[in-house]
Formats: sequence, C-alpha cells, structure tokens
Amino acid sequence: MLVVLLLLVGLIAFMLLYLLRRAALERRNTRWRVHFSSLIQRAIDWEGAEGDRLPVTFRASRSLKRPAARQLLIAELITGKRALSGSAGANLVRLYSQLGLGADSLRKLASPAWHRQAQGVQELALMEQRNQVARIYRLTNAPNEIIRTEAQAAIVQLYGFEGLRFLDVLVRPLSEWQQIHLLRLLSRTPGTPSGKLREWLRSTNPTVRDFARKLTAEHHLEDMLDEEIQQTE
Amino acid sequence: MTGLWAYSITLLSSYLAIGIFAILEMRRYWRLISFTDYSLVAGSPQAPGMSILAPAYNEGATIVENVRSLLSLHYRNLELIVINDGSKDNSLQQLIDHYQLERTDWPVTGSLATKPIRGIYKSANPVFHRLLVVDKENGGKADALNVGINVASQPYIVCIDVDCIIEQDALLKMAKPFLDSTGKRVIASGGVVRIANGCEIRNGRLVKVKLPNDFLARAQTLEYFRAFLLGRMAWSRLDALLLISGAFGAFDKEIVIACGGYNHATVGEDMELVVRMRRYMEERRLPYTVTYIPDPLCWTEAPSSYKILGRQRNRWTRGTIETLRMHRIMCFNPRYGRLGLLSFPYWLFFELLAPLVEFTGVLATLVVAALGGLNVPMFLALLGFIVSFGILFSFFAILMEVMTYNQYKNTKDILRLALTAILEPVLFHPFVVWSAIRGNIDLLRKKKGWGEMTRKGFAAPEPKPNIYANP
Repeated sequence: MLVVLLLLVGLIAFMLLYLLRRAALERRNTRWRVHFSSLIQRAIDWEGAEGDRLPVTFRASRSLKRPAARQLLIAELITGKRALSGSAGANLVRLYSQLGLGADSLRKLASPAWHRQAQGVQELALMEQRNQVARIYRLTNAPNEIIRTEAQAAIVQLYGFEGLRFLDVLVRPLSEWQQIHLLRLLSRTPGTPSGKLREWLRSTNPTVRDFARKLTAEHHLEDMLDEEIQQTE
Repeated sequence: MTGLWAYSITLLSSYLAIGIFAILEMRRYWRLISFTDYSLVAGSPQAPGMSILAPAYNEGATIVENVRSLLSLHYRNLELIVINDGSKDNSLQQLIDHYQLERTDWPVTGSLATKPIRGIYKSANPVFHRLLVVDKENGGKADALNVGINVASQPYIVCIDVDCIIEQDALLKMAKPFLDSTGKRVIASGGVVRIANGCEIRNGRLVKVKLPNDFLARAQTLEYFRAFLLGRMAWSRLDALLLISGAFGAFDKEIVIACGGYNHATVGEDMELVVRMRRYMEERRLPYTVTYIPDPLCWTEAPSSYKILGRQRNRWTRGTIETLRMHRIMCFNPRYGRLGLLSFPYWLFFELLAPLVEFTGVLATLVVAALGGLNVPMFLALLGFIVSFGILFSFFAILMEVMTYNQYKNTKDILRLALTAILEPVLFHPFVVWSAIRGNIDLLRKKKGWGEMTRKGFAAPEPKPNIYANP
C-alpha cells in the first residue's frame, strides 16, 4: 500500500510541476511570439535589394540564441509561408536563410527519430531549400511511411510534375491519402504530367498505376489511358 | 485464495500494461497528426463516400436541430440517412415540414433482413440534397441501422446516435485511416466519445467545453477518460480493440453486409458487430485492422440521475455478456490470435467478471466480519491499497488528458476532476458495480429491453436579461 501511496503522491507532484512548467513555457513562448511577429511583419513588408540583409531586432536575435526559440520561429515562418506567396513569401524564405535556421532543419534531417527527420524534410521543402534536394530525394523510398510521404510531397512541392520522377523507382505503396495529397500539390503547379505517365500506367507497383490513372483523369488524358488498356488487352 | 490473489495481481498488472501501451500509442498518434492536413479530403472529389446512419426514435423535440447540425459537417462525399424507427411522436412530420421532404423511389440495394420500410423521403430543396429520411416500422436500434445499411449508397457507413454532437471535422479525421491503409483493410474505425453535460451548445454545435457541475456527470467524464484515453488507446496499440462505441463509429459497408449487419438479438449490438467483423476476417485469414482516433469527435449527454445511469450500465452488462456468449469460441483460441488469447479473456475476466468478484468479496467480508473472523488491520490495508490504486489510475487518466487534449483548461476544473477521482470509489463505483449485478440478474430473468433512457437534452444557456431594455 505504501508503494501505491508513494506513487500517488509522486503522480500528483508530477502533475502540479507539469502544470506549472507548462504555464511558464506558455508565458515564455508568448513573449517570444511578440518579438517574432514584429520580425516577421518587417520581413513581409521589406523591399530591399537582392544582396541586402533583412532587419533583425536586438531582442529577436538575443532570443534566437535559444534552440527552443529558433524552433518557434521556424514554426511561425512555416505558418506564414503557407499563407503567403509572392515577394512576402520569398522574404520569409530569405529570413529563414539569413538567420541560419536551415542548419536546425538539417540537424533534424540527420536525426535517427522518424518524426524529427520528417519535420526536417517538411521545413526544408516549405522554405524552398533546393540545395538539399538530393538528400530529400533519397528519402522518397524510405521504409518509414511518414518520412517517405513527406519527402515525396517535398519533391513535388519544389519541382512540380518533374518531381514525380520518384514514381519511376518507387517500390513501396502510395496510399490513397498520399495520392490525394500529391494531386492537390500538383493542382497548384502549372504544367501537365510528363511523358513518363505511360510508364507509370504500366508500373509494377499497383498503387503507382492507380495514381497515374487519377492523373490522367485529372488532366483529361483519358485517351492515353484507353490506349494503355487496349495494349494491355 | 491463491486464485483470488492471482486474479487480483493479473488485473492490476493489466491496468499497468494499459497505462504503458496508452502512453506509447498516444505519443505515436500525436507525432503522426503533426504531419496531417485534414483539409486535404474536405474538398477532394477523391475522398471516399460516407453515409451517416442516424436512427431516431421519438426525437421530435430536437430532431430538426440535430439534422441541421449533421448536414453542416465538413465532408464532400457525404450522405445523411435519418432512420425514423416507427416514432410515436411527430419526428417524421417535423422533418418533412422543415426539410421539404418528398417521397421518392430510392433503390434499396442491401439485403439485410429488417422490419418493412414505410417510405423513403428526399428533399425537394437542393440545399438539403445530402439528406435522406427513411420511415420504417419500429424494430429497435439494430434494425434501424440495418435499414440504413441497406439504403446507404456509399462504401463507408458512419453509425451515430442522432442526439450526439459531432465535431465539424470528425468525418475528415474518420476518413484518414481508411485512406491511409495500404496492406491491411481497415474494416472499422472508432472515435472518442466525450461527455457534453455542462458544455455550451448552440444550434446543435458545441460552443464551449465545460466540466459538468453535478458529481454524477463529472464521475462519468473521468470514467470516459479512463476508457477512451487509456483503455481503447492501449487496445488499439495491440490491434485488439473489441468495442467501437455505438455513438460514433465508421465501418466498411461491404464487410458489415458480408457479416450480416447488426444483430437484433443483443442489446450490445455495437460491440457484437465489431467482434463479429473481426471474427469474420480472422476466420478467412484476411489482413485487416480496426483503428481508433483519440481526438474528441463526438459529445454525448451522460445520464444525470442514478436511475437512468443504472439502466444504462445494466444494459451494457447484458450486452457484454450476450456478445461474449455468442462468440465464446474465440476465448483462448489461438486461431483468433491476440483477440482470442488477450482481448477476449480480458473482457471476460476483467470487464465482465470483475463486478461479480467484487460483489462476492464484499458479501464474504460482511459474513466473515459478522462471524468475528475478520483480520481488521489486514482488511484495511488491502482496502486502502485497492482504493489508492484506483485513484492513482484516475489521476493518471487526468494527466493524460491534461498533457494531450486539455479540454478543461481551467486549473480549477483539473482540481475538481482530482476531487472527483478521490470521491468516486465511494460515491460512484459501488453503484456501477451494483448496476452490473442487476444486469446479470436481469439477463438470467431473460430481460431483453433497453430500459427507458430519458435525457434532459442540450439546452442553450438562458440569454442574460438586457438591463437597458425598456420594460
């Protein structure tokens, strides 16, 4: 009974400490968010020349010495980038690069934990870090489903229809969810499916064939599908 | 005596295991959803079609409001089928008047045996094109759901209680497991049911989450934390979930029909269907899974009187006994894998028999005490141990809620929940045990009915009087 009572007291103490710590973290994050929102706002409105540096406030740069603050800023930049396009979005990418936040994302990419790797992929793609494409591309056939799907989405996000070349060698299944995801990303990209579509319609991977059929329907290329069916028959 | 010790130790160990598995599964789920954008399927024509089946019996007071709320759910390929199960009130007429329904020749494609359909109605107003109302002779919830399955035109069915509040994005979340699966077929997916007593509800939507003020509803809130955040999360981790709540669950229609639909012969038709579907897949050696979503997707009104709570628990007990009896072949049968060796025995020994063991223990203690043979210090030590363990488990469930969904943000609410956890072993648990005993007795007496389940309903808060208004 003593053990259970001790556990109970321990659990209550843990709960109290957890609540206190969470409240403290929320206060700290709110403080940082105030600094970062003015930083992001300035970046969005910035109209400097190509080589110029974006203005960074002293408070913001002091906060950014803390890894947790850097992570919070990356999250805020990603939220902003998702909502903004054009020069405002480009300025957010510039801010990300200028502050060296790419190094944080790369560290995640090198992590053994799947969720951190996937997060790294997501950040690099949204922040248009095309110089990392080789590392991301290698992950499009990764055994872990989340890393794989994030990498596939990243490549399509960066290169549109050209990015679909990972389908040539994909041996793992492409879930229905991921197919919908890729179709949505592609719907925002100009262009049409490449000449590889016929190959994908003949792929040995049934989920790739399924996706290729959806692509043909989406782009009104049913004639191509009919030809393939006739040839198969 | 040794058997009793072994039983107790196994029971307590299983609770510890449930706690550990729940943590692991919750962590995995939270990591997964951080990469999920549910809006993907909201407008996608590729999203799978879903038919919501909402059986209604004498729901006239709230039916129009409930249907309006269901029609506003975020999902593109959606069909809402309200099945009027021979209501004696004006439910059907209200629906006809409000939604401009007209009789139609809708094809009934399913072949499940049911009570006759009196008519199928569709709205003349294109705004309500998702709505289909089926009027049928009264046959009970299972029969009404089977009619819904026969009428449904979409490949997935979502069975709900019409008086529940469903979160706007619930179907988007429900669709994901079916779309995500590549190797195994997802045959069913369950969602969390939460207690809506005390919450602010307006126009059939949950506006603000609040902790119930009355103790009984609060104790059930805590009980639902334990059941959904710990129990089902752990069984989901083991892929051995046997129960999906009848208030909110999605199913693969093809498998449901292949299994024969809902069973009329039990009052626990929700659990029975899941067990039968799993058994069907296991016996055919088909790869499958049953998934579970820990997000709060559905809010229900919990019984707020001991009388109604007693009827509910009585029915749950009878439903569990009937289901386990119907599928007893699975018990300790290695052919059914984890279901037969783990999940089924757990339900038998620790869900079904635990109240009987507890009740017998209390009676035995009273007899021994009356005969003067009770070792009082030993008795108090054991009682203290078991009560403390129960409180510990409840505190752990509260901690899980706080660390994950944290629906009750106020620290005062957390303290009230903690106080409820301390009082529950005395003020709530004995009544639940007694209701389970009554369920056993009623089953022996061959009682079949559900028992009347009156609810207060979700009333919107009274508007504050405008002190500046003219008299």
